[in-house]
Amino acid sequence: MPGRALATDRRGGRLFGALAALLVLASPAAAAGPFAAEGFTLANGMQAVAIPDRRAPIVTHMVWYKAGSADERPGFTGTAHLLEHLMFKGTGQTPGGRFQAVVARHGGSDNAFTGYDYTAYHQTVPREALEQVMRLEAERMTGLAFDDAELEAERQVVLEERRQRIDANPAAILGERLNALQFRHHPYGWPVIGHQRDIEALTREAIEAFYRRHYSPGNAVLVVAGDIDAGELRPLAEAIYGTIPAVAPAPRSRPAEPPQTAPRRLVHEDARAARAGLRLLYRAPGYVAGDRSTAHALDVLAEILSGGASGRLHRRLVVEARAAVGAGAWYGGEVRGPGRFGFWAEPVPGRTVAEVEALLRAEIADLLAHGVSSGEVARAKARMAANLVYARDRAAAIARWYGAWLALGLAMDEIDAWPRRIAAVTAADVHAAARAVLVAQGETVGILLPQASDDGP
Amino acid sequence: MVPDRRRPSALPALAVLLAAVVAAAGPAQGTALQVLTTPSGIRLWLREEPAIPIVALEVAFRGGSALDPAGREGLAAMAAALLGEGAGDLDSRAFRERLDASSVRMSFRAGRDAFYASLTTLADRLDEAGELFRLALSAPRFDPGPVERIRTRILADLAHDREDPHTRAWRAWAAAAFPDHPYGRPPDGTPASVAAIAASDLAAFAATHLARDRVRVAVAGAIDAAAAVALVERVLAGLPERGPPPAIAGTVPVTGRVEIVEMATPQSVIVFGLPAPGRDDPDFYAAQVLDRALGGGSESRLFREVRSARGLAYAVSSGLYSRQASSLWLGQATTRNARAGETLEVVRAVLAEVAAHGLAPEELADARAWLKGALALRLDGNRSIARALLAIQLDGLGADYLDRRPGLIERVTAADVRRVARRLLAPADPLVVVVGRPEGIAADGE
Repeated sequence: MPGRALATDRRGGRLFGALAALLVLASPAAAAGPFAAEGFTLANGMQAVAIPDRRAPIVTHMVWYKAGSADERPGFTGTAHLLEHLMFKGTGQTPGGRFQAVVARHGGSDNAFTGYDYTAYHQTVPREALEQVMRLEAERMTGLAFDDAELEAERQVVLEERRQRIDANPAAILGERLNALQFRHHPYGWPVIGHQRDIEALTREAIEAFYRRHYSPGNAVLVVAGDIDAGELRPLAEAIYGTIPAVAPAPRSRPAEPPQTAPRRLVHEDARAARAGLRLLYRAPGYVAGDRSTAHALDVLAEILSGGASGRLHRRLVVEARAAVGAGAWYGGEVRGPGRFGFWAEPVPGRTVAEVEALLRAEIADLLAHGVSSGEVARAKARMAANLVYARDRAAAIARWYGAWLALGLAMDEIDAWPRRIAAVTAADVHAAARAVLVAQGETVGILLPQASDDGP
Repeated sequence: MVPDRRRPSALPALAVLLAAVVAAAGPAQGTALQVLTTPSGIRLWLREEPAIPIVALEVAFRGGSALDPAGREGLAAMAAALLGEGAGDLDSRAFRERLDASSVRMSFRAGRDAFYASLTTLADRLDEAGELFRLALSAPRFDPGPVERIRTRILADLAHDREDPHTRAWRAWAAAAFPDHPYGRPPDGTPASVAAIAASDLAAFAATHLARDRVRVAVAGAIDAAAAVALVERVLAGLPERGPPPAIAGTVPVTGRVEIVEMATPQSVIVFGLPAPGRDDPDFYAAQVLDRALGGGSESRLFREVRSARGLAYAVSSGLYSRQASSLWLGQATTRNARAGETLEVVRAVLAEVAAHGLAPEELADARAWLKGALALRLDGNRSIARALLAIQLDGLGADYLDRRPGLIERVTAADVRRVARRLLAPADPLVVVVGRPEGIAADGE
């Protein structure tokens, strides 16, 4: 999801992009929407959606806030994420840990995550526990309370989390440096978890100000998936969330990223890295701020290049050329701000990053010159349609899909239309999108090298 | 996105180390579980879930990477990586294109004690899915091209494992715990053993280990009994009736030692473990309750003392691992090097406290309540249901287990937990393995 620049899937030797989890859900279907989801809005502005799945008496309950790391200010990075941790410290009425204990007593699970554009809290519980969970979640929308000792301990926890996720992981360090290189002004250039120095310095005042500014019903989305429908959810939502007073939404202002006019490149050498790697990123329109028809075509392009068991890049670089351990592409369009289209490849031992880069660039040149075939587009769209059916097996995953889109600012009918728009993409659309996005002056290249070697950029 | 605030990826790594476990329990809802037998005598458990047009077929062959021959460590894992790379008349490319053309998903995985094969398909493509799955299991090709490509990838993955402090910690713990037992060997092999695996080894593995006498089968989804029986018969009936016995000798992990694996990384990964009651032990359910209270969830002792109260770690947790040849209780905490000694002291103090005094009444009640409810909540999809039904069979439990489980947990008393705490935590210090540059921890000499 937005915020995770690139993650490594060690087993498959594959890197998957920002939005792999969401892309899986992409696809065509008939009627109103793919998942029989129904949305409504409470009088105080809070949006809600119910996604029925009656197989088991289970619900996944989520509340999303339309605020993430990109809503922080320079010098205060990590505020959204540290706040997310502190949201588990209780409220004026409910001591810290009690909410989690209630969930656990039902055998349930709960957690939260922070992205560039949103922060979300979620629980999976038996249906009969839903109302109690909603009351506790509603309470912490406005009633958060934590003491200084809790803040200091949680700050240390987050610093440990940063060490574990980023500092102990050469590929993650490259990703962090690459984001900063690609976005020099826009807040997508700083890490969601924040810079260490900022995390160390964040004050209670800064955290509480972020909370008051962004945590309110008009800036929140409720998603409940499972053993419920909109008719059942609405009275609960009105009684529990609907009574929270509306407040005027905080204006959202983020610095714009100027157009990129020249290629950028960095090499990260790290003695701890076992494997070399290449990442090639392009600026691309996102679904919210960019041209949406290009976005649809880019999703299909990513599927052609690396979807399924026989994606183009895997076949060419891994199977045929035997130059890479893995190779693929991803589209990160599910963002409020600028999107990205990315490629990655990892050379086999004995081949250099430069060789793999040359092969990858040859594939891109071939794509720009010849486009894709209508057969490739049809097969990609069929797989995306099947993925949509597979997605129905997990209500919790569908909840994340709607929650993310609504939190980014799309309307229900726009979300539900997405499969139909994908189904309408043609080979010419894909070719045009590739030509618009994969341009040299918009590229940012990152190379990971195990140690200093001759294999330079 | 950053990340879930809790339960980072540390314990899942353990699943790779020591294979799958079924965790908690609770009453199952939905349609009834059916136990069926195919014409050739293969038993399967079926749960029909007609609402979503997806069929999940989960198969396990008892016997996993622990059976890899000496010098061929990683054989089962390599075979798993190659079963989807060509079978019958279809070479790798043709096979993968057939999978894609029908959007059929299949995967294979070698656990310590079992070899897993998993098929998920849209209900209207059952025929093609069954045929491809049958081919993969009964007629894998192991062509030279894919064999060398997968070997290269595994070798690259092994190099990557050495870069990852958590993987290194789990591997080092297993090696120290089981110096003379297959559980101590790396399940994905070593560069030397992987290099030594020949196509003939792989073919022999598939021909002897994928046999009907050790198979367990679970099906869930939009499929009725007749179709499920036909699917399973088609996929498995052609496999050999018998293979060599999948048993391995029982063993007990080493305890009472501290080992340090030097690694230039900002944190120390601390893994600690002890022998634990196994599935057949009368104290098994009491041990589950104890483990939940010690290191499961954000209200557990270890989480509260190591993380919430002191901010020593982002990742701290424990788990109970009931393996065929040895049962373990394992925990881990990841902290900056400078506070590694303090963190280990807090862990030891928690264990000593619980060994001496057991759990508080509320801890006991909370742990029992979670265990009673959690399995039902995991049965939230056709695929997850099939996986759970398979795990129950591998544990040798009956088809009534989902109904019996809450009672088994409920019967655990405070006295049971005190007894198992003394038995688990008091007699020996854990085996501790630390990866990093820990300050304040001394390793034991040879």
